[in-house]
Amino acid sequence: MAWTSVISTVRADDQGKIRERVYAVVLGGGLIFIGAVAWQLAVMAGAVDEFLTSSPVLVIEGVVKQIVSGELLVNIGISGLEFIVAFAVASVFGISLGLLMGRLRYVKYAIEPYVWLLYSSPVIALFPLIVLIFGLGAPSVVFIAIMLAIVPLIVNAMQGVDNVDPGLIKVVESFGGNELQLLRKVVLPASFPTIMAGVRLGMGRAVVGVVVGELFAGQGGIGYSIDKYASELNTTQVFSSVLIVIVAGLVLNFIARALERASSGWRTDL
Amino acid sequence: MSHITFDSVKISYKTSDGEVEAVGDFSAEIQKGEFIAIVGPSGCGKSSVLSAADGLLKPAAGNVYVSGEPVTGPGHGRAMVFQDASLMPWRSVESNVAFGLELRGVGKAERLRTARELVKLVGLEGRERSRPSQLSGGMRQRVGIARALAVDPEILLMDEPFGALDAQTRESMGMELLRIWENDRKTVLFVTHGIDEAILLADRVLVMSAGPRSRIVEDITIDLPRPRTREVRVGREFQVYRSRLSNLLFGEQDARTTEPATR
Repeated sequence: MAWTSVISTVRADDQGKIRERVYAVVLGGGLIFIGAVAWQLAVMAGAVDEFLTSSPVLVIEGVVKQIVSGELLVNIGISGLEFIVAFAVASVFGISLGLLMGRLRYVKYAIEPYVWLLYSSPVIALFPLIVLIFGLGAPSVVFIAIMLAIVPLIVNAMQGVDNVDPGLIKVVESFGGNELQLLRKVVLPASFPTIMAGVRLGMGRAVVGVVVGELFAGQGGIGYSIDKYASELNTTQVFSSVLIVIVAGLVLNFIARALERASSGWRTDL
Repeated sequence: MSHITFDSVKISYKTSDGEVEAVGDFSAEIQKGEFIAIVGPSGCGKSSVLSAADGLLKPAAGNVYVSGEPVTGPGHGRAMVFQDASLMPWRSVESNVAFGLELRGVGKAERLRTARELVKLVGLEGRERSRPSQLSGGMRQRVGIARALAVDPEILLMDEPFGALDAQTRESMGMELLRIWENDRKTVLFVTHGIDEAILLADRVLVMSAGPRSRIVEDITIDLPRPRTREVRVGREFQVYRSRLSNLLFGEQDARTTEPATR
């Protein structure tokens, strides 16, 4: 009796979840769809200037053209490599620094002001200076992407460690555990969700960093393409390239979430 | 030789208004296999005394000796049960129980075997793979006790372990603890603010005065037969201990409230 009621509540719960999911997809995707249709109709009716606004059909065609010509693959190769290097460096340094700052308050006192300085300073405004130092090309792009991406990685790792239940730390101390065990078995698993949220934020900022960097100093890549097409007044290809960046960002976010789910298993095994 | 010796232990804390001497002078001798309850008004530093015995906290003066050796840090012969159980929410029940053994480098197969035995001992058989969030407060504290027992300590330090539980669960957990304790009669230091709990469980109750500079005001031997059952509570002797303890605790607290505020 009790069991059947449990099962039926679980089923009702699942059904509720599915319904919520459908609403989210229909409402979220529907709005974009309606927007695109309105945009297309406005262009077809001549209400807006196609030269300035392009149209959804043209934008999709533009993407296809980039795929067929191989431009997309080359751009993704260049931008992707810059992204990977920048994000890897930012992750390794950002998370280690954040963990250190969370555990050792003197390190935190020494470094925290600069993190917030970096956070609130318009890094992009320093770009001419960065180009002066690193020259045009990938190094400047990677540098600015690191600067943008590292802040949430540091801050989240630090806050993750700060928020570890002091009771759990006491348990490790009481059993005579050392600092390394404390880090591996309590601090990292406990701050894992917060760190991963930082990873996702940092990922998004690294994408922005790469695109904006290429826009100003790139010698290839998606951002460089956007700049090139804009100077040619090719509205359609600018939109197409932006669409590609958006899709890339979504795909990265999806990968990050999948990684997060897959790797949360290790917390129980360590 | 006594198992644990508190030799004029003094504990102080740095606060924003300077150093506060929480515990002024705590001296006691505890024999092997004794079940000791420490009671006192809140803020008297009874938990600090326990931390000092575990080696988590260094006394400002005086020393704690275990089997004649001064305590310099957490050691293998002691294990602590914390007030809120302090379980790792990402670990299963058995993995939490095995945690202390894991930190001490015991191999996986062996520590899991020990953990399962203890899960059974504390009455949680079948819940080995559950997460702490799926357990009730009482069950979580059973896991906390099992985790401490898993490292097979000679001394069990319990810091208000049932303080967060409702009265009924609290009492049954007390009886459960006695059942487990009767197996091998480890030396137990049990900090509590519950008078009934202290009498029901302990061989001796150390009563502390209110802080700051608290000390032991009374060391009462509870001469009730073991193994104890709930029925002990209705007996006349229990009531005598009870009124004596509440006079010591609440009488003092009343006196304190009539004192002019000096701080």
